[in-house]
Amino acid sequence: MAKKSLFWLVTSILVLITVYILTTTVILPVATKNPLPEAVLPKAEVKRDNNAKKSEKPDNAPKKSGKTDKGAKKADPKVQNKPASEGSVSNSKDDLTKYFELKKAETMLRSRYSLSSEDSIYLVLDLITKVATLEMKGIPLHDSKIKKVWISNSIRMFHTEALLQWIAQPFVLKNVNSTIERVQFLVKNAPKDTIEANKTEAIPAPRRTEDVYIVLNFERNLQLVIQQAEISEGADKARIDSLKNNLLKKETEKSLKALSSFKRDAITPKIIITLPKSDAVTLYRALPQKLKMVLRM
Amino acid sequence: METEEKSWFRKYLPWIIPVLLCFWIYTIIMYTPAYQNVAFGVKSWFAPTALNVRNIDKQIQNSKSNIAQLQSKLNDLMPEKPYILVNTTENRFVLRNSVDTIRTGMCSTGKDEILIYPNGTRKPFKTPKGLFTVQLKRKDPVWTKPDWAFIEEGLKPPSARSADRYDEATLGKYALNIGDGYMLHGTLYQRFLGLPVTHGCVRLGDADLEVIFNTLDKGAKVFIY
Repeated sequence: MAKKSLFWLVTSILVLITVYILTTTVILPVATKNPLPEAVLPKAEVKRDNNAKKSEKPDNAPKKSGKTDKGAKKADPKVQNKPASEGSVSNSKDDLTKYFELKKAETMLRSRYSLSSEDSIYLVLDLITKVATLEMKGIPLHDSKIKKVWISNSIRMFHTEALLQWIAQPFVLKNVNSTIERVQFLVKNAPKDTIEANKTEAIPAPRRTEDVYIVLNFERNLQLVIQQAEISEGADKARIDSLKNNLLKKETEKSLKALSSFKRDAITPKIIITLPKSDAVTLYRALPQKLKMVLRM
Repeated sequence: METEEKSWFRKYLPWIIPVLLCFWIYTIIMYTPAYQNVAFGVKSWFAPTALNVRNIDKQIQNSKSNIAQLQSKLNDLMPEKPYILVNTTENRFVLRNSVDTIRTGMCSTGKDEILIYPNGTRKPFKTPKGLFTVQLKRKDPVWTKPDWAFIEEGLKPPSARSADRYDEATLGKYALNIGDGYMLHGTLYQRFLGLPVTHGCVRLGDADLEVIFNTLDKGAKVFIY
């Protein structure tokens, strides 16, 4: 009998743990319509948006409860992303689509304009027109036509408003993994005399750049992968595979760590763009250490 | 009693093991980022619901007007005077004005090399990146050779005022100084255009250099990336 009780106790504990994990990994992200808990606007931006919403509210609109307002001020993603379904407003699908497309365009222009005041090169990644542009001071320096775009489903399924908030500010680069060097210096000793100097080859041999696979990790969990359109072979392929394996290893370690601590990390939305090799190298070599990127999708 | 225990185990063990196994598999799947990227994209789970936006017509109008304003602000940033873009990776330049491309062509930029002097000093040869302005325009420029020009040839640098320092041929017909000793200038080695061979300056072909010299005024913007 005692063993029976123990069995039911263990089973109940297992069920409770399963429910807990299910809640944190599936139910909460669904309920908040935002699988990215970190994707929140800075407070100032949230306040401005809230004020705008308040000012746009018709006089006879039902007032929100104090609790909700307090939540909004704290920039709680759950509250921010909560659809205003309580209201009696119903909009046509076309209007909403148009509204959000305009908002996305506005967001991109606003970010570009804010970055134009900085003394640094920034990247504008427009996944709608499929163009990656290097810009500085609002002036396009280099356009690259993107041959292929792959967007992870976690981004596709953002609630539109969550997506707008996510792309509202430029993304700041955290770290990079790449198969090529940003700057590849050749170290040379000065010749001892003119005879030795004359031995130096008159025609410089152009240096070959290895095949390109670049992984850029940005704040707000975005991972951008830039790969070349040309097929890699031999040593280049091995180098790219090695980088991919290292990343996979790190991801696996992260997963195991999450498993052991029962704490799931926020999802890493991923975008993979394929560019001609020359464009990929140009983009990468021109990017500053603290790259800022404007994203439109 | 012992028999009862054994029978209990026999009865429930087939249940406990699959439950634990299912739980383990489930947690592994749910905690794997790769899986999350796929799972959270299943449309039937996460289909975005239409938001009710209040005064949508007004908001659309506001957004349109904001876009027009921002676009106009960005257009205002375009330089009125011609400017030049230098791509150090492909060793190409583009001369543009606010609406059009005036000329494109090959150039030579920094060779990304570090020269180690006999005394151990390290001198990098690299074209700087960023925004520069034309500070000085010179016809028939004379190059005052710095120390590295001698050290690289296996020579001892002469005194600062030595006549050996002055070179009338190397910079070509024109030079546009962009600051910190860097210039856009001509070259004796036209065959190297398109290759990264310089000590940091931007070398141009004769015909291109003439157009650039005549198009860019003092203060014109030079973007190097």
